[in-house]
Amino acid sequence: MIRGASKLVNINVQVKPGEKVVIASDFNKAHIAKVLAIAVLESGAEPTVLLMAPRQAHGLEPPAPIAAALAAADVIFTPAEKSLGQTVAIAEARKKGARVVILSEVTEDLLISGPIEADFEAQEPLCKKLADLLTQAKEAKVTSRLGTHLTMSLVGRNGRALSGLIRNPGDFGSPPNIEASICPVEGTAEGILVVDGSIAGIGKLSSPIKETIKKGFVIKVEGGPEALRLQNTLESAHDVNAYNVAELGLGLNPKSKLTGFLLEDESILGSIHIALGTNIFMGGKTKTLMHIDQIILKPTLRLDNKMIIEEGEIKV
Amino acid sequence: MFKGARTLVETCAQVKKGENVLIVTDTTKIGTGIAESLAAAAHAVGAEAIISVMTARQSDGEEPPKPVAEAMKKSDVFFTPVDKSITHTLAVKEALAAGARAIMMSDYTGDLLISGGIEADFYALEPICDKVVELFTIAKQAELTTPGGTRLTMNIEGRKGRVLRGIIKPGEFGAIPNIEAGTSPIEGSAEGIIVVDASVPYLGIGVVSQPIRVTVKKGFITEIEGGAEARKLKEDLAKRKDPNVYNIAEIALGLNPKARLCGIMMEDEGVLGVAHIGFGTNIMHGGKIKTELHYDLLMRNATLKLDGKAILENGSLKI
Repeated sequence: MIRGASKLVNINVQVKPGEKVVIASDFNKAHIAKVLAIAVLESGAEPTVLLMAPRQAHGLEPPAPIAAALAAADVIFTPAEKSLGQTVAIAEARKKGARVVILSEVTEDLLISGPIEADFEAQEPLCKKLADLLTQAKEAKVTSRLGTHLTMSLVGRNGRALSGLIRNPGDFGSPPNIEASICPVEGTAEGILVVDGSIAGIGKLSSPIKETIKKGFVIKVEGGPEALRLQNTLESAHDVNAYNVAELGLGLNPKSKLTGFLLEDESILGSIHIALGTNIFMGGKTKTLMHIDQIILKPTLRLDNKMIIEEGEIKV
Repeated sequence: MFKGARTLVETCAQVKKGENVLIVTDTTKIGTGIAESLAAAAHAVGAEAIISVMTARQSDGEEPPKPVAEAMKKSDVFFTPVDKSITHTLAVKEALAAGARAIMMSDYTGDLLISGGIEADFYALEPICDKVVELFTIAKQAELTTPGGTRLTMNIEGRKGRVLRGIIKPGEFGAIPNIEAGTSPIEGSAEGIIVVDASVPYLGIGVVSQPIRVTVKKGFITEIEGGAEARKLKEDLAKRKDPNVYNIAEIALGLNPKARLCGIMMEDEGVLGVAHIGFGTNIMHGGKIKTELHYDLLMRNATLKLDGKAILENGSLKI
């Protein structure tokens, strides 16, 4: 595990001697926090590990003492059960210049092999290029052999490059995830989406889920047992915004495979993910209780009719 | 340990549901169960428990990292099971000024949460603390004697009494199981002989194997005699090359009837009937001297007279 942790510290974030590094973790992930702290120590920086009771859901604020510690950090790692990524505490710390690595649901495996072994620097130019293409595009169209046929407007929305390299003040990422992503304009997604990879919080799918999407919202979910779980999750928000088509993301990590683990799955090279729910933290306007990523394997993606991904192969 | 942790959390720190409780620990103490027990006890009363782990500080009084200092300021209660003391740091001062309640736990061991001083009835000790600290505040002259041969006089006029309580109020800190009251004598006023026959909880000395005889003139230690432990103390002081390390800085009485001598400062100084004379820095006790250390000399079965009236006689309180 120390090798993966060292890579995050020394390559992805380039932690420098004397920097104040806060590892905000919880009682269930303390073992991972410890390995990161050792890697930080080796780099000559000053680690502080903070452990709290695991939050009940993604996006819940950490307690005030942890928020205060984050605001005083140069670098933040969050190996926590639930993601702190979309919290005011992290947003404030970034404003003050902290470099932030979100590691929600992180496991030991993730620091040992697989996507952590990617050459992040080599992927960065492609990541930036795709983010630029997303920014420039007016419309995205996703199709697949399984029956996906979905269009959405991207007008006025900026793509973001999450290259997994977090080297400048305010940078943010979830390595080993590498993705380029964007928020489609609310109310514009139309068509059919067939999810065949995995879904955050549910895991790998045993059979595909078919979603009918009208005016930017999922209006129908069909499929096997996982479809039912997804329906139940969405209903539990008691908020129509949970059904909002919130994100289009392109996975760019050549070492990622389908494992059911979100940080790995959403970064599978040539996959895309369509998330439902909140998108306010990525430039959209919707805020609700959840943000559910859904991974689609081997999609075809066109931006303004230009082929970007063809059946899982990137054509850029 | 959990029982003792519950006492610290529920009785001593009076932790309430929903409060932010920060446990500041370090790489030498995490895993000993102390921080973990405290977090569990805080969690059990419905508080938000946070454990913060930093690298062990190099020396007493070294500041914690800024993120830890900021977290302390935002906590309602904090505990500090760490190796080197952070009691006298800016971080603690500012957190207390912000209204936090603190329990300092430097050099703590799991044993201290299991038996001894932690088993005291802290509520019952409150009025005793109040009384003794008041007596120190109003007294002009103090005389300490012990069957071991101590006979030390000092002027304490105008100096406020100081107490480490068992039940902590906002903006205050405690060092449970150490319950003590005392004051800082006027610099230059202490005269006499101290015969240390209990403990020197520093430099790895602990409970003394043979008495250490310390001569005090015009407020300063001038001579240290005895066996190997005396030599160890003498040599440590000599290498500081600062006359103020010899300053008589503090006189205090332990008030915890359950504490027993074991060589650990936080337990030893609290033992009822044991008096201690601190030397070196006294600025945090109300005096004017700041130097690089503050050590304590502990004596058994003490008799303390304030303005000629015994408040402790051969180890028993007379109030």
